[in-house]
This record gives sequence, structure tokens and C-alpha cells, in this order.
Amino acid sequence: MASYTQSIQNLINQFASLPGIGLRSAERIAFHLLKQKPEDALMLAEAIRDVKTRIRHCSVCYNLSEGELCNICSDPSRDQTVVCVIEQPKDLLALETAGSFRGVYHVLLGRIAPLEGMEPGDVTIDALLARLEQGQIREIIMGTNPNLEGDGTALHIQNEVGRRFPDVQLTRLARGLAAGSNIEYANKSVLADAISGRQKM
Amino acid sequence: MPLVADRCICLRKIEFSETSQILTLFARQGGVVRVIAKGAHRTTKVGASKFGGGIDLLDVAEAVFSHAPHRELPPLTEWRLTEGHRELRRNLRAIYLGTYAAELVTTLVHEHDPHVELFDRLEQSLREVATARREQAFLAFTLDLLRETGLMPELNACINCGQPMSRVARAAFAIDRGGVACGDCAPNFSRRVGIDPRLLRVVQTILTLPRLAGQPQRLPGLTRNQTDPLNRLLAEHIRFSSARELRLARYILAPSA
Ligand SMILES: [Zn+2]
Ligand SMILES: [Zn+2]
Repeated sequence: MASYTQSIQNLINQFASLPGIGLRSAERIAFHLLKQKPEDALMLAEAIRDVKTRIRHCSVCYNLSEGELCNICSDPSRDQTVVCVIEQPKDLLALETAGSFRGVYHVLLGRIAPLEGMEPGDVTIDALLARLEQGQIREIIMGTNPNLEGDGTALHIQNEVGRRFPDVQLTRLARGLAAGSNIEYANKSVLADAISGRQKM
Repeated sequence: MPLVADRCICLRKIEFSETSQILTLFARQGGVVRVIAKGAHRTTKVGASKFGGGIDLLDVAEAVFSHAPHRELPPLTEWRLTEGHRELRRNLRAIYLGTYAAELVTTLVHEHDPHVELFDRLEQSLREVATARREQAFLAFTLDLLRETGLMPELNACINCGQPMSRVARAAFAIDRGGVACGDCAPNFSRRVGIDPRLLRVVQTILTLPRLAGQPQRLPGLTRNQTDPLNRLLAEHIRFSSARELRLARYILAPSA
């Protein structure tokens, strides 16, 4: 069987290692690039180089940023006294698309997952405590994922914050039925959460 | 490939790709099995997801998967949640004890080796650790796990002179010998941890309690002052016997957890 030259094979392997791209798609993308004009194809290489050299973590909230501060931390209209704690920058993007939160964030860059060897020191909890030290924050909203590790991470932070900053209010995102979903498809846990978290109408 | 239906507890979950998870399950009839859950995060517009809203650690469900011991990772096809542990999730100590119980099962139980009674004990114990009875319930589960896997250490009498622990004032656990020694014999063993003999009598009490559906009845209430030394001793024993690290041991022995 004929095989590709080493550089083509290398390109295909690089694409195939990306999430959601199989070998067939990787081949299609590689041959598409081969057909393109050099300046067009190299725009992809430049874009990759750009994000890897220019994107870093915001020095306050650990969101992805091109500067020292991310665009949320540097926005004067955001309420700096309310901080929503989340696991990943992509959770921040998801919450921002809802457009209803006017506070700021703290990105943990992970969760405490003891079985996977992810310990409290591997997430940005110390940086969060340092932010609280400055005395401006009056509410922390726990927005970790509603699973066992996310709940454990939230409870660990609750202990740390509660012990050292008893005046800071601690809340967590509501859980229950997804809007636009059907009750008949919800599992037992979701339904129990929805009942206990019911709201006055 | 034949499909099997079995009641399962999720012991471990590893994100494998954007859409798949590799799960280590404790199946009631089939023992510890590893399966792949493809499309675990996908949901339809009406909120129906393939596995009823996702699969989480410690969840109990009626599951269906391919039975293929020769195959590396048989696919999971159905997951109907029966217990999502809402109470356990509200308490950090309960989360750590429950996760530690799962780690102990994956450490000590071989794949495809059925342990029906142990499964029932884990299911009961996960409910119990969510309550104020969590310390004694967890200790009782660990003892049952050791007994069921043939790794119960000698905690009743000195491994050197045979003196019963009920009659000694001081004792130590000899880690590389898997048993306790009286105060006189303890210096013969270099790898040892001191243990209060009164706590060893607590263990004997738990092991001889009457049982209902496998579950020990009228467990004595225990505090962490009592269970911490025993959990530490048993963790050393399990580490030595399995030659494996126990990641959760440090969490459950930390003073703040
Ligand atoms: Zn920021
Ligand atoms: Zn002796």
C-alpha cells in the first residue's frame, strides 16, 4: 500500500490528534490545505502561533486574556463585589452568553478530583483567598459543575472561605430542570433538585 | 455480543474524549467491569440524554452493557439512575468517605470477580455515610471489604505470643506481618504503628454484631478520635497488601475534612 510522504503524514497525525477529528477528516483537511495558496494556508499556522504566544491567564481571575487583565476584570461596569467561581474559561463563556450576570469571575482552572490526583493545590483557590483578603468581595457564587467532584470542590472552598471570611455571603447556582426540556426525560436527581429548589410564582 | 443488565455503582469516571467516558463500574452480578460510555454528554433538544443526564461517581443505576470479557472496553448502552446521593453531595466528609470506599473496591476487587454481598454492603454504606452514622458505617464497610477479599488482618491476638488483645494494655500493628502485637512483642517488628487495644476491641464488637440483609445491626456510635487511628492502620495494611497507593487516605485522615 502506498503511503504519504513524511510531512503529509505528520500533518494528518496532528489534525487527527485534535478532539472530534477522525483520521478521514484529518486527511480531508490536510489535502484541502495542500490545494490552498501558500499565504492562505499559512494563515492557520499564524493564528495558532498567535494564540499560543499572546494568550495568557488574567492576573486576577485566571480567565484567558491578551493582556494583564481580562476584558471582564478591566470593565468598570462590572460589579467587583460579586464573584462567580467556575472550573474552566469555557464555563465563563457559557455564563456570559446568558448575559444576565454583572459581577466578575474566578476561574479555578480545574476541580479537586482526588481519584485523578487533582488536589486543592492544583487549582487557583489560594489566589481566590488572596482576592478575598483585599476586603471588597461581599458574595461568592459557587458555579462549579453539579457533579460529585464539582460539589466537593465547592464544599472545600466553602470551608476555607467560611473559616477565614465569615462575613462573605456564599451561594451556589440553582440546579434542576433545564429550560426547554421535558420533565419526562429528567432523571431522579434532577427532579429532586427541581422540587427542593422550587420558586414562588 | 450478548447484552447484560445489572445493577451498577460507578467507581471511577475518566473523560476519554469530548463525547466519551471510560467508567469503572461495580456490577452486582458481574463484579468490577470497565465500559465505555459513548455520547455521554450529548443531549437532544428536549433534554433527553443518552444516559439519563450523565453518569457520575458513586451513582447507582440499572445498567445494560455488552458482555465481552475478552474485549478491551465493551460499550455501555443503558443507564437508568436509581440513586444519585443528594444528601451525600452536601457534606464534604461524606463525599470523601464515599469516594474512598470506591477507591478501596477498585484497589482490592479483581475485574470480573463477582461479589454480590459486597456490592450490597457498598450500596448500603454509601447511604449511611450521608448520615451522622458515617464514621462507624465506613469502618464497618472497610472491615467487610477486607473479610470478603481475604485480606482481613489479625486484630484479635498477638501474632507473636498469641495473647488476646482484650488483655493487653499496649499494642502495635506490624504492617509487613498484617497483624497486631502486644506491647512486649511489638519491638520485634520494625514496621509498626501503635494502636490503642481498646480500639481493637471496638473492631471485634463490630465484626460480631447481628446482621440483617448482610448489614450489621446496632453499630456503636464512633467519633473520629476512634476511627482515625483505625482508618490509618487499615490504610497502611491495604497499601502494603496491594502495593498500591491510596489517593483518598490522606483526605479522610486530614483534620479539617
Ligand atoms: Zn480577569
Ligand atoms: Zn505478644
